[in-house]
Amino acid sequence: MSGETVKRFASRLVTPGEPLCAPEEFMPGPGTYVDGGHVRAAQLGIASYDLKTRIVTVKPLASQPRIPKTGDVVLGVVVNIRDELATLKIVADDKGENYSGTYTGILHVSQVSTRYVKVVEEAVKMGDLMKVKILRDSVPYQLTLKDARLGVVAAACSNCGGLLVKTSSGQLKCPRCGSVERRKTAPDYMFVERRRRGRGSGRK
Amino acid sequence: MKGKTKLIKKDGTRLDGRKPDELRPVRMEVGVLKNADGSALVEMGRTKVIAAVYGPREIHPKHLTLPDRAILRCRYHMAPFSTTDRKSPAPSRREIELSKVIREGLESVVFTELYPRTTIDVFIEVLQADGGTRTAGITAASLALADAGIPMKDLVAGVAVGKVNGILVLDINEVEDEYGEADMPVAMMPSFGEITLLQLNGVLTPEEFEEALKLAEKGIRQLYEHQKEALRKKYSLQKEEV
Repeated sequence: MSGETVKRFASRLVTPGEPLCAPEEFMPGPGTYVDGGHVRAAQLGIASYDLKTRIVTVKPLASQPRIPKTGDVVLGVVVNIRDELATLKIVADDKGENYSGTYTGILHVSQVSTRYVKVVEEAVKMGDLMKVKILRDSVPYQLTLKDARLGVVAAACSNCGGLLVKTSSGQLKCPRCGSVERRKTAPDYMFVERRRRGRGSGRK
Repeated sequence: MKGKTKLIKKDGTRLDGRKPDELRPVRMEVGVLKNADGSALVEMGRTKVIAAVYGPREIHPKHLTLPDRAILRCRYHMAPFSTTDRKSPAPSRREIELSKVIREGLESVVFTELYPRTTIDVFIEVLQADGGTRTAGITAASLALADAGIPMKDLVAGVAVGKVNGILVLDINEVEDEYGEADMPVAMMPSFGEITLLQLNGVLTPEEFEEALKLAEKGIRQLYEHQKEALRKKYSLQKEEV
């Protein structure tokens, strides 16, 4: 390959709209588009030319917009509850990274558990922070709890407002007023009762 | 007094010492705001504009949602302290119109179909006004969109061309706008040469219009280089890590 060609197809920083090559030379890959006889960059990033597959891609440098998608596990807060429906505000992905703004999700009783649940309140309550999976990314998002890793991650006592602690028997107990509540908790519930011997305190 | 005030000096330069086809000193910076997903600051002489982009995110009110693409919302606003006389912070008729033309100027470059049922919100705040704020605003907004990582067809850059004392001048300032004969803001996609915003206030002959458009394109090409430079500056450090 001549020096000129090597230079043309070397990786470089490109801005949106910059011509990369002709579509006959390289196929447009992610981060590119074709217009006016050129493959062009659609994003700010590093253009790289794959000489084997003959595909040109732009690897984005700017932080990418993140939107919850079907199948994603996300964190949400219960903002409204009815017998057959809970409304959640989706705030972050399962790694705890916030989305730009919040998304509304709906959890129907039929999606709360694999066994029969009469009302949503048997498993979740107002203000609970929970891990849910997205069934359908229409607006509002359809959510489900039918998975072992899903459930309430943090909850407050509906009696006194103290943070509920998970006991060794799996119940949620309020350390302040002593009331016991029912929830479908996730395995990584944040506040776990301290065992006498080991350090079984909550993660995070 | 329109057209009577002397705005071109004997040696052919303008009141601020520029040649007719010269831009004001330009400064551009990307990523100036931490909260926003993308942001940019553009200065053209004494005009100073900041732009912030949020999104794609969920739309409120929900009924504005489009099932096949994102909507673009734009707010152009002048800070009360941006002018010599205090400007009321309420959106004026002029600001509402400029928000619309800027939105339309950006809509044609953003690939909105990639983010259905969401909104991309663009906020343009004029911190200091000395003519050409809408074009500086659209220039800043396109930088902020690129900074937010939103896929775009091209950047957009804009500049105003005016006619003062019968001479076409590039990048007019407040005085030239007020006492000149014509003011024509133009925004373009520099890689394509396509016009996304074009307004004209005052009177130009068809020949002058053609000439003014050419002058604007010349200015826009220069601004485009500044835009690329500003984007490279922010991301060159990250590039070295790759």
